[in-house]
Amino acid sequence: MDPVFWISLKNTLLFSLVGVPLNIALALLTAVILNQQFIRFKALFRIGFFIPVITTMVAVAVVWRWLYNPEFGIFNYFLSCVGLSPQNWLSDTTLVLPSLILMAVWKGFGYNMIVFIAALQSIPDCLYEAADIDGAGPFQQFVHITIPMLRKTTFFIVIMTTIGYLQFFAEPYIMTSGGPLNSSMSVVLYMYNHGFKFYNLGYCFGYRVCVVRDHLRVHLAAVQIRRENGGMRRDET
Amino acid sequence: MKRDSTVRVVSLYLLIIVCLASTLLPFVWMISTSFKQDAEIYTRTPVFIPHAPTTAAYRETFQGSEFSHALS
Repeated sequence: MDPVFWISLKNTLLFSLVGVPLNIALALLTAVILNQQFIRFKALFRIGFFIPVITTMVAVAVVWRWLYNPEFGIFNYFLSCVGLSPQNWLSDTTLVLPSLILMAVWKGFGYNMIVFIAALQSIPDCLYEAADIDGAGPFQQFVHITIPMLRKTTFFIVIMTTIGYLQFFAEPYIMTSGGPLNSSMSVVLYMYNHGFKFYNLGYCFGYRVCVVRDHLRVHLAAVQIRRENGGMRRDET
Repeated sequence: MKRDSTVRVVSLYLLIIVCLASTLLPFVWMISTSFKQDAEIYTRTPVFIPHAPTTAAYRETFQGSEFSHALS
């Protein structure tokens, strides 16, 4: 078997397994804060968090490659400010995937934040008022009202974000081209390399079929879990 | 509705502002770098506001580079 394939599969899964929860946690955090009554200039904050989403991946990747630059990059400057040694962000086999995850989360969480804000605004106030009267604190209200009421939205976001993260391609293609030592090689990038660099079209297509099949399997499993938990009940809508 | 405590308001404001600042940092950095001269781009201590701002990069971009062909 092709060892690089398994490396690329591992990288893509790791990227999704770490990136998706981070993305959703950050989106939920910012959405809940921006949904508080006392926050002013909400539109300004929303625009600020949404700017990365509307920016092209290529432009973002070029700027971030500069930020990650080991010699002149601003991240290494921040590290030196707090007394840490500079890092080779994109040329270290252990650090390259976290660096790409950080960038992808930064780029993607604004979209989920907007969806969460919309969902938060549709939760009726009377639930919170009742909880207030019953003496529930902000944390209890969050756990027992906000999270359950967001269930459908969270399901949608998890599926959409996972789809997006499993398509992990542009980041390694532009920033590292899969390197160093294939430690940021993704499934789609590996397929692209086989199809358009090595002209192994047969391999590329066979590979594509496997990838599509596996993605379908993951999403069908997610839908199945959702159904078994009774999420599709009519009376909820 | 209960009044929110000052500590909570301030801490949430701080949190969201830190989030916003770190989100916008790459864009600020991009814009500031676009006005820098080469010597200021390649420095170990980053310069946030260029000492001698120049529009040379923009002039080069819009005059005769491939970008201007791509635009038209």
